[in-house]
Amino acid sequence: MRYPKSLLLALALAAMLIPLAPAARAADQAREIQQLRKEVQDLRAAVRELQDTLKAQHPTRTTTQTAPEQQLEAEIRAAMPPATPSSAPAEAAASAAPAPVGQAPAAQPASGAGVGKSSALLNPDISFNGDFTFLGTDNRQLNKANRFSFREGEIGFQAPIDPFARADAFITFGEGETPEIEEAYATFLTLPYNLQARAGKFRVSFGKNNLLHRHALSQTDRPFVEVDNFGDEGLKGTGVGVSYLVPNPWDQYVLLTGEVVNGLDDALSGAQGTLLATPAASRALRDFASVGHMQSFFDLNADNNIEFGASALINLPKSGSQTKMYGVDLTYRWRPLRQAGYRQFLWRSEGYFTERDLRDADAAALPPGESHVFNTAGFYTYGEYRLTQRLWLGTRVDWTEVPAQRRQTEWGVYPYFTFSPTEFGYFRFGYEYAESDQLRSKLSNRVWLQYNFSIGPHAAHAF
Amino acid sequence: MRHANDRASVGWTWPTISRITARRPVGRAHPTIRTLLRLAMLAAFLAKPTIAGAKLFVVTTTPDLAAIAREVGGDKVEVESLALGTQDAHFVDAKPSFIVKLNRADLYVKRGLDLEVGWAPVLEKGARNANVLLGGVGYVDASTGLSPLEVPGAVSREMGDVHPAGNPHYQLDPANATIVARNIVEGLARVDVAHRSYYEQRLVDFSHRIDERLAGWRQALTAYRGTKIVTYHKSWDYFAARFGLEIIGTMEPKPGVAPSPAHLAQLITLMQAAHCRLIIKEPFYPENLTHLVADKTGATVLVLPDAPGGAPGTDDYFSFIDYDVQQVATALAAAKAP
Repeated sequence: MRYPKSLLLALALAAMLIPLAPAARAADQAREIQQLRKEVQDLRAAVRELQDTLKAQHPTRTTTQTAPEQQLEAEIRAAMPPATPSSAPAEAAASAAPAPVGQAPAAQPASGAGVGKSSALLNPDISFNGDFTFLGTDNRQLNKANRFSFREGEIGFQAPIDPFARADAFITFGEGETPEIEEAYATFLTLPYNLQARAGKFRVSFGKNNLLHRHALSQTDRPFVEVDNFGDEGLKGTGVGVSYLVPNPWDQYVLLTGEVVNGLDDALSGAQGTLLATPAASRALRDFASVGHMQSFFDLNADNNIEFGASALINLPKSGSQTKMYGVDLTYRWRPLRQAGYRQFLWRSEGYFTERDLRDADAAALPPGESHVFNTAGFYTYGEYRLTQRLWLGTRVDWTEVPAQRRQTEWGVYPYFTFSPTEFGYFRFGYEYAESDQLRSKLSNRVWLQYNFSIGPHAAHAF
Repeated sequence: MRHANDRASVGWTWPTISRITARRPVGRAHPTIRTLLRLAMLAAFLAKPTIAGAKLFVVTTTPDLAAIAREVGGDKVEVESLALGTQDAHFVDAKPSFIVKLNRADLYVKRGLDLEVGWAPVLEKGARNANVLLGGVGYVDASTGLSPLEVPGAVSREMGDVHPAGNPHYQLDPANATIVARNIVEGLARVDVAHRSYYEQRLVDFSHRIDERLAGWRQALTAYRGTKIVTYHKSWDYFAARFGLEIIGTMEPKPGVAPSPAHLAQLITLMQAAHCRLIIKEPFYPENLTHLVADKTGATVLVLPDAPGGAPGTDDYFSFIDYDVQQVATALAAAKAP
């Protein structure tokens, strides 16, 4: 069978062109890419040109707004619809921290396909602290003595709420005790004028030691003066607080804090949204307790620093006993930077002055003719030296008059050492000699054994 | 005659109490509050003005970041590091005085990879400066875009104080300095748009100088590629990877865990078997146990800074790396000599 020559030639040409077709397509694509590149370059050049023009018009642009910018922002803000209650804090914060022109928003909307998948990443930091103790003593009147005790478990949840606020919550419970919210508060971080606010339940800003959680204490128990005034776990309150970092020409740290919390004697009753069988007592402004605190800090040099604080607490309810307290605290630290993790000396002292004016039923229990005003004072002081990376030695001295008691004092001496294999756990052994007018047998020898551990994300160290 | 129910005090007396708490007409501010308000007004009056045309105030957590920020920021910036070069950056005290610096900062640069997790969050929370918070315009994580070493697959405290995002001691690899510099320049350009080209030009210049010097540093240690060394903490892995040294062990059995006798005994045996003749430790780690191991193995202990300012004459990034490279080269040459 014979084929025409022209057909064979056509077939041969087609066979040659078939492999060339993809190459031709690739060449087209390359040309297209080149063209796109050129267009992108042209666009970039145009953008640069526009940027240069803008720069020429605004030669210095920093995060600090100029007066016209602030005025413009105020006008825009006034033209905006009123903020809903839930967005009010965000609004306040946004006014404090204006994003520069062209700056992407700090937070993305919580919606979209990726949100469900990344929800685990948005979980708060969850941690647990366990406190295991043994208190041995020759004085049988002391509570929970001569036994092992899982004294406290603390679960912590900590995370930013949004770009403007963060939440910290700690739930604590002892062995056989009902879990309690030790602290749960929101801190508003971006308020203007060096202000910061918090709302919720928190450790009240009175003194230095009271701000510390139990596991962060230098000794196993709190100082006598703190326990006698505030109880075993220190003073907590539910309310609001505002603090102000005071600017000054010397760039020193001075912080003023004011807090208003529910009355600390808390004889008041009431509920939100629940009908009461009998109406609650009316609440006056003075039924809230007010706390003021000043904290200052001075670097003497790189290795030495001093911290000084003063506190006041006024709790004058309309009915019931009244309390006024004042406190001062002083801390000195020596921490040579070359050996920061291995050598340290800390000396801390606090003094409390308490005026209790017993009223109503409390006053009625007093002997006839006796004054119902009690002024008492107390202090603690301790020094602590870090011998090695893992070992601390310290001694605390306590002396206090018992509030609202006449001529009753307590004092004690408490040497201890702490062994910390890592920063996530420590063993502590302490011996405490104490004399107390509150105990039938005044003298007591106490031996404390403690193991405290933390699991979960690494929380920042308190200072 | 005083009545029994008068507000007579028992025990100590403090005269100001009665003055502070005395009744006064409603609507009139308490004298204490008025005094506080006056003090606040005085403080506001005395306060330093914010930047407004002055240099940008850059705060970094560590001195290496400060040194690089000075390189790329030039005369447009004033830079301060919170930690010093002689200090262990894991354990910096969150001093309130640092809060004041962060409060004033226009740009805040962190090493990242959780190096500062034990102290920086306290400062950021207290700073009252939205710019320096995560997502703020002046917040820079210097580790962005880096390829961290030793990112653990699973994290547990059984492994010691490991960093879940990887080893944060990347400042000891000069090649990473360019990435850090780029991150800082992006931050500077955000807060000071007008001088973007100035910072970018300085970045180009810095990168060229790093490339040039890196070639020299590699040359200085070429003869010692594959040499086995021991370090105190896992902070020299980037340095070793860049210059071809082999780390066979650390004084710490696990990161952040103090050396134990059993671990050191194993380490000594390992060093003797591997003919390891060099132990590198930072100035802030204890000396006695390191020297004990050195005595048992015939090794040299080299005390090297892990950040600028950690030794005399190492104030900028180049002199710091130069110092470390020269010291290692000299020590390894001496160890090799018969």
